[in-house]
Amino acid sequence: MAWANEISSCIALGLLQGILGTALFLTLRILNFTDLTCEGSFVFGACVSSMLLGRGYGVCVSVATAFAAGGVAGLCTGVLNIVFKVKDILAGILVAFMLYSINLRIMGVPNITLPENVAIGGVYLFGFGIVCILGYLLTTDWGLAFRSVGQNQALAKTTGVSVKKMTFIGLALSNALIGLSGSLFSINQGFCDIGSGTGLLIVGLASVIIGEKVLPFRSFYLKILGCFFGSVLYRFFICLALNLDSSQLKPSDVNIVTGLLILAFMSSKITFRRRLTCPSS
Amino acid sequence: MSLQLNNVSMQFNERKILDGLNLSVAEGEFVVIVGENGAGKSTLFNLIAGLEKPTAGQIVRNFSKITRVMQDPKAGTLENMTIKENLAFAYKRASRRGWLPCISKARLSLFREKLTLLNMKLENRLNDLVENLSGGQRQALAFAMAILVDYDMILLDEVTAALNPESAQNLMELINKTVRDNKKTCLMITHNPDHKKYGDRVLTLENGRLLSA
Ligand SMILES: Nc1ncnc2c1ncn2[C@@H]1O[C@H](COP(=O)(O)OP(=O)(O)O)[C@@H](O)[C@H]1O
Ligand SMILES: [Mg+2]
Repeated sequence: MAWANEISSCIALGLLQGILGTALFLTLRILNFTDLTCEGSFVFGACVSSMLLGRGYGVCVSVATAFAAGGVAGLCTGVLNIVFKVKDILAGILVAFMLYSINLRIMGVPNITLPENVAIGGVYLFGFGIVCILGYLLTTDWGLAFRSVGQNQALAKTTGVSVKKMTFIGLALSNALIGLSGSLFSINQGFCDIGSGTGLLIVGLASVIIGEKVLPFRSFYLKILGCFFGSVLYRFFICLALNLDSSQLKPSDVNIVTGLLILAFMSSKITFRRRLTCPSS
Repeated sequence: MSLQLNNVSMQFNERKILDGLNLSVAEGEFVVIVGENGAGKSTLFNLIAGLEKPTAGQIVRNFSKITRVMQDPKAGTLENMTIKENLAFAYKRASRRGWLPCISKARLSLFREKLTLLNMKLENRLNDLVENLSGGQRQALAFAMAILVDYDMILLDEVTAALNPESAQNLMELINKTVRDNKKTCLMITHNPDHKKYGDRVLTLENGRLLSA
């Protein structure tokens, strides 16, 4: 029975963080923008929805607001990068850094407990919707233009694509999804913590990389599905590593386990059809 | 007069690449430009295409649609996309990109038709990634992308440089036919002496100016 519980919680957490993986896939892989805003926007989404839930607003309103809040954080990174010409990595770090203070202001205290029994079952349907919509969008004429920005900006410009607009859209969409992921994560956990964003970039990256290795296909539907799948697998691995009595691992060992896991997947020889997948892993 | 450059200068840092350059090209003309490496030929095309602004002088364009094949085959294609996606990308140049799938039956047959013209068997490889093509094949694809939609003027920057003599000859004939049959204006940079004959005029870029050869 304990195992059944562990497994279902792995799947639940995995799917929630799969949204984060999908968001990182959009920026890191498609837009080729190393966006490190995520550790800030994740907590931002969690704070905003927790505060709204605490004041008695409904789940839908709270989660939707968290989605919008994440999008605004992404736009800020976009403004820093495009208007102020700050490099992508630094722009994201700066926004995440500043969000820490804002998040604390919103919450008032570093940790709040959420009202119990908030139902988020519909979320899985929503995740499925994201896979379908994003997968479709990326194969349209618009999607082609969006993808071109990550591959060859000069050519995109001369072909009439607005690189700035696409970067803004990509960052906003990605961070909105991250905000959503953060909000759902906090609801699932029953609390919201100012430090819950730490290390999330790596968790998201693990989802993307594991997904790419396990589902190395060219279809965008499968690539995005891979982010969710990779995220669930990642949860299983971690859960397994920490629960095996013989492993002698403590919860604080999760970072080194994660790091080694990513390294193992990155260098693994499951590289059949490698040329068909994203080459930069 | 369709394109006119008056006293155009271009400077990078302290180095003057173009210096008081004058050029006028009539509609339907085919002008060949030659010159040493680093003479500023590609820079001249950047100015004509509006990608960069001259440090001095004036450029009058009576062209609404300029299309261009870049010198570097990598610069003219999207390497992590398939051949058909590259063509679909070029197909929507300068027009609104909607929410319909980028690949349709009608488009595929158009793409096949254009690729067949190249005579490089690329029409059978629509699903291949561009990064798996050779430099010459990429260059040819870039040309196909450039002529896929309507244009008034085409700029060709050493398009045959990466091809073997036979394919270069083939592509050159195709370019000549495409440009002449459709009465398009064409500026072409080349290092190949055999290709000078295709132009109505041959100009040499030297010391920042264009001289009649
Ligand atoms: N963006 C740039 N910044 C600095 N120098 C440049 C730039 N673009 C071109 N140049 C310089 O201008 C000169 C002419 O380059 P280019 O026009 O590419 O020559 P080519 O005639 O071989 O096409 C070269 O010396 C090149 O280094
Ligand atoms: Mg050149």
